[in-house]
Amino acid sequence: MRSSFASRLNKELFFLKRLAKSVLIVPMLLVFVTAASAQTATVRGFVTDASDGQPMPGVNVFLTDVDGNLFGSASDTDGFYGISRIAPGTYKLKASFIGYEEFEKDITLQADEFQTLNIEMRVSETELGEVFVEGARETAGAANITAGLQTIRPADISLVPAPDISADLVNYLTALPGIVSQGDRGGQLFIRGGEPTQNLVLLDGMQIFQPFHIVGFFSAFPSDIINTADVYAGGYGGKFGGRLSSVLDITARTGNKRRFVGAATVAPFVSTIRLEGPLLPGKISLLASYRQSVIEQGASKLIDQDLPFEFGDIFAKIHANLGESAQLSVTGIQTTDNGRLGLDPLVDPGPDYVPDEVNWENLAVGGRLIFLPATLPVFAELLVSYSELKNEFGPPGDPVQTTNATLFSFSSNLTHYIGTTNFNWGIFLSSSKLDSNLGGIFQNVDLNIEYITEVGGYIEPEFNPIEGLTVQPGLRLQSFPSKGQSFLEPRLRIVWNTGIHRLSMAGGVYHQEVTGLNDRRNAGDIFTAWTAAPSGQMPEATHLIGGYRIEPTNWLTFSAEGFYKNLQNIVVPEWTAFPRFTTNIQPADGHATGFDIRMELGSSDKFQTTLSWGRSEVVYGSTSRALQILTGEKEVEYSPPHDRKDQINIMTALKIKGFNFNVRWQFGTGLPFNESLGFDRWLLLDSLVNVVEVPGEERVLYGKPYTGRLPTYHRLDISLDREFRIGPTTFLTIQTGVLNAYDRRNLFYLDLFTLRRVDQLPLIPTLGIKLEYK
Amino acid sequence: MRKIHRHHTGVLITFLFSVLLLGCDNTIEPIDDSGSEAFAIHGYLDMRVARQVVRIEALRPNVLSNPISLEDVQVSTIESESGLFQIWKDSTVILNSGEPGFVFAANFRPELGRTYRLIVSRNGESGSEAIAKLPAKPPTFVNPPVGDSLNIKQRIVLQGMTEKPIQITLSYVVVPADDSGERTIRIAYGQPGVATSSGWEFDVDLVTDRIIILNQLGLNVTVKDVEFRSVSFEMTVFSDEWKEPQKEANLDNAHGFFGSVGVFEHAWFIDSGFLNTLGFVDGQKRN
Repeated sequence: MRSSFASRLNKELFFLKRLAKSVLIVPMLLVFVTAASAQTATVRGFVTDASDGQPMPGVNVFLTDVDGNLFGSASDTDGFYGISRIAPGTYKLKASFIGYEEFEKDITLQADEFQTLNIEMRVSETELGEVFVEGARETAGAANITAGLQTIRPADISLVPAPDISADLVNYLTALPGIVSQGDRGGQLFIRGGEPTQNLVLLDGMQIFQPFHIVGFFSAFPSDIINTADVYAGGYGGKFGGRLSSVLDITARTGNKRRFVGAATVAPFVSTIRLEGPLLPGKISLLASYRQSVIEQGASKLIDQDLPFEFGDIFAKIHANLGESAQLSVTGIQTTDNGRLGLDPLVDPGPDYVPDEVNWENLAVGGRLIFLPATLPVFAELLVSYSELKNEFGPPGDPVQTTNATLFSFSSNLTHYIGTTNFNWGIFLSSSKLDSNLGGIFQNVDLNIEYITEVGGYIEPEFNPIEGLTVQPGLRLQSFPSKGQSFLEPRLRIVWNTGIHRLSMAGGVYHQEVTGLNDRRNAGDIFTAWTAAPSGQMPEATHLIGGYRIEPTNWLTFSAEGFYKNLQNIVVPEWTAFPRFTTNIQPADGHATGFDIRMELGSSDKFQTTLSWGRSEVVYGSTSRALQILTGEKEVEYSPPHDRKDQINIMTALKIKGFNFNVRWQFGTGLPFNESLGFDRWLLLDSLVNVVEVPGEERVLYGKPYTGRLPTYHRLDISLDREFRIGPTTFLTIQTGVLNAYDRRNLFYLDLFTLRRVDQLPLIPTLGIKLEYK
Repeated sequence: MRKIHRHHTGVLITFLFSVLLLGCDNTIEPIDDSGSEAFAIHGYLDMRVARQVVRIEALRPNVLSNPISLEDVQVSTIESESGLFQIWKDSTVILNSGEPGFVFAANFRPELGRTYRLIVSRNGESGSEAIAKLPAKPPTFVNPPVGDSLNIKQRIVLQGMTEKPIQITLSYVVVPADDSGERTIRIAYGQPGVATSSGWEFDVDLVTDRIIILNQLGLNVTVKDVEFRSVSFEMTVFSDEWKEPQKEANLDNAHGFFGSVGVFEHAWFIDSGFLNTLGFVDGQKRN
């Protein structure tokens, strides 16, 4: 026993040493390259909004020399910009952003100088005086997708009608083609064919295991706390890994560093309080948000229907400027969800019937330090975080299935600015503890507590060989010392902007060691068990995305994108025909293919319409014995229950005389479900059973899996809101609207055993009030 | 130009109309009832008994619905080799759970190696079918006895048989010296043996069996004047369907299980020298 432990330890140490050697080569090379770039200068810094100290992404910063030559850069999510390898001399530095006054300053750069210049942008005021001008492109745009990557800003989210006056990120996500939601309850998203557990969700670098609330309109991310959200529907770069399908990388806002502001909202689904302000004016800020559902007191009474759901979240972020060249933030979030979705197929729901209950709780705390070393053209980021998920399912107070997952993570990401090349690289180390009690489901899953250590690094230079062309090849090394397994994952991203056209492609290979298990045959059971991938069967995906975007005028954008995802060794539940599931998991292979087309008309100023159509096909292939017996085929191909073939979304936002009118219509073709041939009492005749005495077990008889299609899904949501100024800095917003305006009976799920139909929410009128101190 | 415009308008109207039509449909058809009515069949033909029974159930649309009446349902069998047709009679039984169960029964004893087609239909319409082929007797080889007076065994090999038998019973016919007449002693062996490349192999333990025989005759083990007339074994075996009871390969438009149980015998002679060593008087009648 001791020798086996020692040998494992030796193996892990050997692994770590080898990895350390390979990772150290990168900085050594970069120091050499940086040294070779002597006799040039660099200017860099952070761009913030002067009114509140918030970082401003997307600000164009450029230098003009005496001959009129331009050198430029755009600020990133942190407001960081950097222009390097420029000749010493005198320049005019300008920074511009629509709706803000242009920043202008003359600077002189010496040879080898790394000058830090932070820029404060001031909002320009119109002749109307009191009305703040909002940036014409404050939204990132629904059609603004580049090789699977779409950036979302709070203004985008506010275009979607929502049941709450404070908009939520998930409400916007479900309006995007290629993203299939489980419905208005359940809190699960399927992105371009992937399962919810194959999505990596990060908030300020912290992993959130199950971030979507039990009511499908809400997530842990109200738009009030979001700075930007980058959604990679596939083809993501070397910085991200450990998930097969997608990455949702959210950056939270920082609090107002100038003054205290806040808001409180009341609506039929949730009530919210947000507070932000300077802890140390100009230096340290706090942003805190608290939301609590009031569905049972609000929406449930409005529609006179039992809606047994409860959820809430608490968020806080402290952000500090540590001098001119460094910033530190500490973020914490806790979410809670509780609800009753499951129906016992063998119990008739009488007045005393108590359905099973699912509840989960996320907790994440993390720190992020970004700094600009004084003598290197480098942007550095250090992240430390702890994430935790507790999930339970079963009778209230006596759950039969539980899972706990914890993750400690450290990572470091660096970007070296070497002329027109940005050299990105990083290292990461994480340790997970996974502990599940599956109460009978997934019999062949090891129930021991599992510890998984993961170490690795990536390199991802970003070349700009000609104007408008960016080529970003990457390589990620992912190692699991305890298993003696390593994976090299190549990545590639190419973007070519030429005039009004943009061509893009992305691809890569991905592995997922920590995987989530669901029994997808029962839509009411959203319990997810987190476990290590079965030994020797690491789930793997290969992505390929190609896209085209054209913006012929500033009021029209059109984009088209195709994708292919090949999936290997994904885990699916084994087929069984009994109402009370006891099953095994089985490996399956599959693929997802599709395309989406988007068109955006107008701008967020007055009128904006987005039309999108997504088409996809997801196919799994399994060689499980149970399916072979059922179908008589060696390999059984089927469409999993999230295979929505077509999706159409139409969103319109209109601003007239201070009123915001938002409409959204969603349409989706029916999801697959299992058609039944009928029910019988099954006798296992594995011995001389007396058939005139033994009653047998209830059984559902299936044909091939998922051959049926549920009815189409469509819904119209409408909202109207207006902000009233009731004091110098106090505003009252009133929102009214209606969800599911024509009262479509959209199916949430069909319980095949009882043929009970569970519908999504009917027509719901909403009325929300927000009091905001700006 | 106007034609093209009209054409596009037509396409758009058709598309919107299709979406509207598709979108309005809100029905779900959870039951695939495209084929003829299927039944659940659970049971097996059993050579050991003269009355055959199967349980029949009409498939229900959901798990909570009441059993569907089988009043108009007919169950029959045809023996493929002879064409013998039999109608089965229905009856209701009370299961261990207290619920009713619907069974059909017929009085006949199936035969080894024969094939029986069970037909279940309602009002003469096409319904469910199941085929059960009774196992055939495998070629059987008896090896010469081996061992000394304390341990004499004889290996039996059933060629090609791979599955464990349900039951093996040895039958000895002996005549005690007191002239009380011929006695048959049956010894249950259970499920002895192993599957080998040759087939199923098991040993007959002649020394132990002799002690059991003498005990049953009420004689002392030292008695050596009992006449040994014959030895045989009877083996009860499952048909192939029992290898994977969930496979349903022999069912057509039916669900459940329909198999068979076969019984066969094999007799052999034991060398006189070994009988003497065992303590029997050889009375076997050889032709």
